[in-house]
Amino acid sequence: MIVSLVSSDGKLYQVDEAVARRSGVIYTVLEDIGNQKPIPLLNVPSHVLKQVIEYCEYHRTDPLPQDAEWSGPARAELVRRKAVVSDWDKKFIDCDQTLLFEIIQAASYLDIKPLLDLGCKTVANMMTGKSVEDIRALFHIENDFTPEEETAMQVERSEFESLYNIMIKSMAGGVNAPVTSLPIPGKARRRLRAPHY
Amino acid sequence: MQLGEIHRRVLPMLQMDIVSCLPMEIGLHVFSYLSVDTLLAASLVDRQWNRLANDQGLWRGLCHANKWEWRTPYQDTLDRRTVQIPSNPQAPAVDEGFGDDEPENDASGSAVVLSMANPPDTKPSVDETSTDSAFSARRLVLRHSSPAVLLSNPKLPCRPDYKALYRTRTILRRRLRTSNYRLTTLHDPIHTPLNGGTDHRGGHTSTIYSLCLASDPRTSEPTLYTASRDQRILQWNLSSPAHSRSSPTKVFQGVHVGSVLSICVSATHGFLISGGSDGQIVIWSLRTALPVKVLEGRDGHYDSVLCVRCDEERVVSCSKDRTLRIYDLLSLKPLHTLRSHRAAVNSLALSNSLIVSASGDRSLRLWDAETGDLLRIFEGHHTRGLASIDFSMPHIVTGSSDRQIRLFDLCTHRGWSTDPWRHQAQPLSFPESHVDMTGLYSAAANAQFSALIAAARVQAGLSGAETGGGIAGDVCELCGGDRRVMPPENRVHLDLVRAVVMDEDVVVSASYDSTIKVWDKKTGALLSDLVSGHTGRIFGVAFDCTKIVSCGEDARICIWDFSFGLDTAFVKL
Repeated sequence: MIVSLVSSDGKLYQVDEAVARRSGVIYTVLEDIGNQKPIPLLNVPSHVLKQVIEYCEYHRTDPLPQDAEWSGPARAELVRRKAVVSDWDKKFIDCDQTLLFEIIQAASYLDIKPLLDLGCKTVANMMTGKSVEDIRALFHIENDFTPEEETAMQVERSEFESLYNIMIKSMAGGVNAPVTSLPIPGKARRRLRAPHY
Repeated sequence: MQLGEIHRRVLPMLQMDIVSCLPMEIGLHVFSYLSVDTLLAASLVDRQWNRLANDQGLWRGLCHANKWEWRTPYQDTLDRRTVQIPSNPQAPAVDEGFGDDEPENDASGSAVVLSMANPPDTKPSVDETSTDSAFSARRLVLRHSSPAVLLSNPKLPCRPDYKALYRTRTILRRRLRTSNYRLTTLHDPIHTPLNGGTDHRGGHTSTIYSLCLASDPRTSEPTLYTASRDQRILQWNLSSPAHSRSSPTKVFQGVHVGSVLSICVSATHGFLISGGSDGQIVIWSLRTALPVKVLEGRDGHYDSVLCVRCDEERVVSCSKDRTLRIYDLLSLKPLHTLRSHRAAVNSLALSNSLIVSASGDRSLRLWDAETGDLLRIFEGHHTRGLASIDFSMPHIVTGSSDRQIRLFDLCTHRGWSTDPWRHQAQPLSFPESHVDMTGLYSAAANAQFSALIAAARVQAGLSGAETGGGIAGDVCELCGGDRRVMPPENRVHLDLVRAVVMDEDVVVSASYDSTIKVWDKKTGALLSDLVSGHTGRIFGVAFDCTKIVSCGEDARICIWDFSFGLDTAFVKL
């Protein structure tokens, strides 16, 4: 079965039903009114729809996400486990910010959760490990805080110094520090008897 | 897609504020992938980002990922307090001594009220220098607040502030991992005049063998129970200010005729369970402090009961008579007697309907709590008898008379030990080495064990050969891989390890060498060394996110408090 999709600028795309059904919205349309007429997608321009279809073509055999799976604590778990983005996805999503933005919008509008996740994850990865200044530069954002506000928030932030850093520190200064004392020979050590329990 | 179109034309460069241009829920979706560090950086970008990054849902997710729960402070305290102030105008602001046994009636109630009297949006004071002002404000409430003031907002909105919770928990954990504590002694026989065995206000008069941290089932206030050689068990209210803590709030006495060696609390059933050197196991009502049932003679052990533990359904005890016993917590009837150990069973731990027992015969054994079947025997972990054990599926940590601590993972057979010599001397016998020992376990037990390990693997998210369980492996972290190097003396216990307890992140051990040590659970690295609290051997240790509590030969109860200067009323322990 072939489904016809029409982009907001009037271009017609014909895709396999299995591919089209990756979108929750199209899935519902097909279920409710069947595959009779081309489906107009008023919010998706052709250059974005082309990308979305490419993504769905590639992932056509993936299991469809179940609703329960994609909400609540189970979803958080899934997110953690799926933190690794596949090479194909990485290449696919490696585009300029405007297109990335439009793909996210389209994924949200068409209800394609894995693509939405991929887009959001990509944006998150762009800022991971960056300083505040870097993030502002990256997304072209003006700082609209007053200096007082900024100072107060810096203080707050310093309190959060992440556990991860602490662990690294405590280990560096702790156990793996060079050992200076000489080892006690086995015999002598055995003589240091523990009291009877 | 008009917005995108506009951006495409207006911005010649390819940069845009993606997050702010997207609908809020997608912006939050983006932020949900951020680490805490990056999320905090994001909150400083601009006002719009700040609003998003401070979203409660995001922080709730981060808290729940760590199993950090919000606790709504007990409301009834507030109501009772407002009634009590006018009815008892002569009541001193600070309790000098406890006349009654109700923990809510002391000044702590007000402290809780004050801490939540902040509008939920204001940040609770975490600045350590603000301790003084917080304290004076607390006293202010005590002295000058009229009931009318309190009644004007009878039910304070206690909306959870998960960001504050995350911050507080992070600070607490940082302090625990870096030995940043304030030590107080709950009861110090040297400074507290002893009033003889009859007056319970003096606290314990002799060695304290065991302690148990619990929260009051009704008020969820933190409570401590201690068991002593003086044949009594005392209850202490830990939420009261330090200076009024020197008296216990309840006494459980009159049944044991020997030292009380071990206690545990079942908050759901309202029971305190104690085992003593008189061979008795006593079930007490937490509410009335009266005994509900005594298990002895045919139903009990023939020698000292060394350890009692309970879960939702059962009580398990172990004894010097080399057996363990399982009792039903509802009917209080004996279910099974577990015989296999060749020496006194010193300690036991329960997790997921499984029991592990640690014995003087140098072995630890894994039992099914439902059927009483012996599932596995682990030997060769220590060179001397095992003194202590803790179990949280799939991790088992043991402390031994050979002064070492060993942690291992039932599923991956990996773990660490504080003893570098063990690595070289003998290979560890992990569960697989026992699989071939036919005849030792029944086929049913073998099948059960395999099923259990498989279930635990699924639960831990492990598949196949993947060993991402978090434990670093059986490489000795203490000597950085060179197993012949002896760790410095101050990095290991110098005497028997009498108590070990663990949570998700750390292992806390207490030893006869009078020190308590905190170890990283993943690597076995020594994080904190708590010395100079006790003057004698330490027998018991317990901890939660705000404190470590320890007791021992010197009849002292030491509280190593990590929450000084912090408002932790909303932290669920």
